[in-house]
Amino acid sequence: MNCAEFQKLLPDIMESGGNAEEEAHLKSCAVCSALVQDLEQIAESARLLLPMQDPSPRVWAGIREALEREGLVRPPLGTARFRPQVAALNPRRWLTGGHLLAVAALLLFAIGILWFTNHATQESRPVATASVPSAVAPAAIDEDDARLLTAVEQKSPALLPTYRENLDTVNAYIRDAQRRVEQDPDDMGARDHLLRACNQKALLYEMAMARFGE
Amino acid sequence: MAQARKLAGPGLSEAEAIDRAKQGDAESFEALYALHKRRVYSLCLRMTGNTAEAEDLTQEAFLQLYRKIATFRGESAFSTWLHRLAVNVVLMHLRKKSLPEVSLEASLEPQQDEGPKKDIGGPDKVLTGAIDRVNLARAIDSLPRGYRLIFVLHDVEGYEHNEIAEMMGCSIGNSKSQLHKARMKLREILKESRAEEAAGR
Repeated sequence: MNCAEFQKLLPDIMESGGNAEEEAHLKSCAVCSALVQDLEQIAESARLLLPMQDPSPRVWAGIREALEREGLVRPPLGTARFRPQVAALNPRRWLTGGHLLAVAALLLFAIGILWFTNHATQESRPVATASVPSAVAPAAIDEDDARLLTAVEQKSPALLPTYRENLDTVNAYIRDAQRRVEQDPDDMGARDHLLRACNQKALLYEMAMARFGE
Repeated sequence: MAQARKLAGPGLSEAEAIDRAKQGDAESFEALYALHKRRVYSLCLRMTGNTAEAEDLTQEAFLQLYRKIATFRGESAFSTWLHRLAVNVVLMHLRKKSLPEVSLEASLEPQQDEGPKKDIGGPDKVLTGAIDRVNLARAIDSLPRGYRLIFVLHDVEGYEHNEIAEMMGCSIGNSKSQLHKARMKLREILKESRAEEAAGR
């Protein structure tokens, strides 16, 4: 079997595995072996992509308007109109003391990174490879992660693997975005990814607080 | 389990919010939106690659959800039901956008110059090292539409080929082949972006 024949069959091989002849080619051919490894890695990485973005408030405004127009909702007792649940969605309901500090630290961390890279860009153009000083690195955040996991383990051990996996994934996302911002401080897309990644982590903390409380 | 989830509302579980939404309770509608908006919007955005379209489709998906919520019997998880509904909303939208005389299957096939190249070359073409998620997200956005749809549905959202074939009105073989081409194209884009990064250093 040659490479062309192997690669023609690859969609099926990737789905259900190959026969002895195909396996033998895979073992002996560096090009096809690297190709399969890359494709598997792409599929694996895609599974770890998180839903990162929220729709703009205009989406809910449009839905609310349509629901009212179509008569699909009845307003809450004592009100004449469908009101947004700002209070119910306010994270301050759940966050107190150290937890609030942890979430605040995350957002400050993101803002700090963006400020630093912006500052570095202004002062030292066109050098785009300024590294972030260790003072800005997320050491304190790792301690918070450990505390969060300890709390989860104590209150709901079954959820520990899920929380650990989610934290690992979002931390990896933050690292990737951080590296991109360091490489190119003018890359607005990378900055946006970094902010969203940090927001995602803050949301993870909020969800934990909502579930486990103080 | 979805039904045991607590919502960001006044102590409601998701199951309670669904029951109340069936009675037309406004706050329960909003609580369900708050819980699922990110997942639905991200799905629409990844499938279309366009922010404005994704927002319109998110709105349409939730409106359909609210119109049909009385028919939700709980045979599957609510999130699975909503997710499937959102996928159908996006696919219907894309189908309407395509020319009427062209089948969906044909319209999903990218132009020749958009497709992946064969890789019968040397080992210098290998994509080495871990894949940066930011790069991967960008590469997915830049895929031709047909490839992006199949890739997002299979590799990101976890649908099986038989489900994709049913939703998209194509054959299982076509779904497998499109997925393979999508992954090959992504590999090409990622390698190019890595080479550009290395050259820029």
